[in-house]
Amino acid sequence: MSMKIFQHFSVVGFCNTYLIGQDGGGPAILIDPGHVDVELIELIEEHHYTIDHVLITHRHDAHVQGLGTLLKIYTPEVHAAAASIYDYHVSEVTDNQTLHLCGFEIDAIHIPGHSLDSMVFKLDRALFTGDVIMSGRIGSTSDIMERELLRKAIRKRLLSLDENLLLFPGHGAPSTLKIEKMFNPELLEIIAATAELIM
Amino acid sequence: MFTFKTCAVQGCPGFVCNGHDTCFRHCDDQAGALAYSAGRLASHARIDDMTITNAEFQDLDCAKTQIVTCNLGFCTFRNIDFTGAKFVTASLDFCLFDRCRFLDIDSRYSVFAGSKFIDCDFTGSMLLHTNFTGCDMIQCDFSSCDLYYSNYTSAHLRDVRFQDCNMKKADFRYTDRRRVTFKYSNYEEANFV
Repeated sequence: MSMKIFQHFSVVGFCNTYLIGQDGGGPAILIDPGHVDVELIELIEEHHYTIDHVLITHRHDAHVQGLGTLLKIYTPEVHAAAASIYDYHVSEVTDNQTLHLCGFEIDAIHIPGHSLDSMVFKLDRALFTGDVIMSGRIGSTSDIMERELLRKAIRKRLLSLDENLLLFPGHGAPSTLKIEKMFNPELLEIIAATAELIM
Repeated sequence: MFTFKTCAVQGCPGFVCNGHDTCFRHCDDQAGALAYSAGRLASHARIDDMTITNAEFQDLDCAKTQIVTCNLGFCTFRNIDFTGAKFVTASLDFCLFDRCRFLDIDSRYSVFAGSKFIDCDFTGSMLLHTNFTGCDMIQCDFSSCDLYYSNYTSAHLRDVRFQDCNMKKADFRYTDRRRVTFKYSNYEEANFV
C-alpha cells in the first residue's frame, strides 16, 4: 500500500486542503479544512475514504472554517496546537509529538510567528507547512517581534531538515525544501543572517 | 504519490526508479529503465506515481498524456510534444526543456522550479498553482494562459510573452525580466513587489 496525497483548493480563503490516505481507500486524514464543499466531499467519497482525523496547522479562519460542515458528515478526531477551535473539542498537539494516525507516523513541529499555534506536520518525506513557509515566501506576521520569532524558528527547526522533503503549503503551489532554500528570497535572507552569525 | 524511497547506494539521495532498488543514475539497466519510462510518457494515457530522475528524453510525442503524482526531476527533455497533456502534483524540478511544446496543457499543483526552458510554447494552457520559481526561460510563450496562483519568484525571463493571460494571484516577485511582455494581461492583479 502506498500513501496518496490529494490537494483541494478552497475558493473561500484560498486555502489548500490536503487529503491523505492509503492507496485504495479506508481511514484518512484531512489537513486544514478551510472550506468543505461538494468537490471535497466527492474527492473523499470517490476514493473510498472516511475522515478519521483532522490536522490543523493553525487556527486562522481560512484553515478551519470548514470544520462545522465536516463534523456534520464525519466523526473525526481534530488535532491542533490550539486548545479549542470554535468550541469544538480538540486533541492538543505539542511540539515534537509523534502522532500515529491512519497507519502514518506524523511529527509535529511548532513554528510560532505567523500565529502562536502554528504547527508544521512532517509525514514521511512530506512537510505540511500551513502558513509558515509557502512557495517563494514565508508567513506574514503582525509585527517585527513575531517576524523574528518566525525567522528564528524556521532557522532552528526547518532549515536543518532533509532538502528533498516535499513542501505542501497552506496557500499556493507545492515545492521542496531545496527549492525554497535556493530561490525563496526571505529564506535566503535567513540563511545569510545565519552565516553572518557563524562568522 | 510517487515513492519516497531513496537509492540503495549509500549516501545517494536520489529517488528509486520504478521496479528498481536504485535511482536512474545507479541503475544497472539504464537503457531498459529509460525505454520503459519513455514508453509510458508517450502512451497518451494516464500514468500515476512514475519516478525517473536525471534521465534524458528526446523526440517524444507525449500529447494528451496525464502525468499524475510523478517525479521526473533533473531530467532533460528535448523536442517533446506535451500538447494537451495534464500534470497533477507532478515534480519536474531542475529539468532542462529544450524546444518542447506544452500547448493547451492543464497543470495543477505541479513543480517546474529551478528548470531551464529554451524555446518552449505554453500557449493556451491552464497553469494553476504551478511552481516556476527560479526558472530560466528563454524565448518562451505563455500567451492566453491561466496563471492563477502560479509562482515565478526569482525567475530569469528573456524574450518571454505573457500576452492575454489571467495573472490573478500569480507571483512575479524578484524576477529578472528582459524583453518580457504582459500585453492585454491583468498584471495589476499579479504580485510584483
